[in-house]
Amino acid sequence: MAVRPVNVLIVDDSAMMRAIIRRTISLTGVEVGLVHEAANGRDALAVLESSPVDALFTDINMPVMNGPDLLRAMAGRDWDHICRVIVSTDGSSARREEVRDLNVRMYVEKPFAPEIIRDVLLEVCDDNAGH
Amino acid sequence: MTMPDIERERMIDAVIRVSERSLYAFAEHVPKAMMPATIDGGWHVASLQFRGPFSGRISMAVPVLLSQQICGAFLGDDVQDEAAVRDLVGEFANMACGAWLTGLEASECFDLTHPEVDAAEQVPSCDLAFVINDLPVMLTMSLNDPAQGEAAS
Repeated sequence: MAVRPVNVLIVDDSAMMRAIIRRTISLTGVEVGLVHEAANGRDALAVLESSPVDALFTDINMPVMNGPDLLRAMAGRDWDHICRVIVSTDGSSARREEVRDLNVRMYVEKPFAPEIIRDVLLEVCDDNAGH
Repeated sequence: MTMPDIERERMIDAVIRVSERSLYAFAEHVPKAMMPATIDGGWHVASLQFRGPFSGRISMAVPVLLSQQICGAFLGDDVQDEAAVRDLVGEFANMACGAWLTGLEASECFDLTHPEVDAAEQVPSCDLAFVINDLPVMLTMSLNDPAQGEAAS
């Protein structure tokens, strides 16, 4: 059975960080479909409303709408299937606790090893194959 | 306030990890005496403050040539985009500071200010020195003295 490519949304106010995550995704070898980008949570919601997304990588601190507020805004919508991943420089247990109840699959600290991103994408591929 | 040696060691590790894992650039810690104050093309200097169980600031000086090289590797040949080049230097400093603080106080939150990136012709001194892709990178760290309320190296 063919597995549908994973569609990704990268949310970070730094264009360079979005490019770094995009480059890392390309190095994982996992077949990826569309890779969308958004500079804040509000722009990310607009992407989610218009495009199918399987995996979301979001920063925490962003202007306009931050990562936790984005995840809260996603709750209750028809997006439960989306794998939510936090990508942050702040790896403290206090910050991890803050987002624990926001349906976050994984918390990735910057700088991250490509293998971590690969494992996330492979999990999402498995989810897609199961549906 | 004097920076303890162990904190410097963690910062060295943080800068090298960020450089190699995120920027795909080989980094090496070198003696400060090897650093030039000036360099062809000048410097980009990213500065940010952090507040939490302790507070302070870091500044990272990156040659414009190096930031353009790394930026070009991610975005193609469009290294004339000054905003993207400055964004890269700011993110480099931000990630290094975040990784350093997480290594020091894994259980506590810190608030980091958005990095400010300025151009500089000269960077006269630093606390830590690196060579990244054969070009010098300098880092200055300072902690606020709780008694005095101001930063000191």
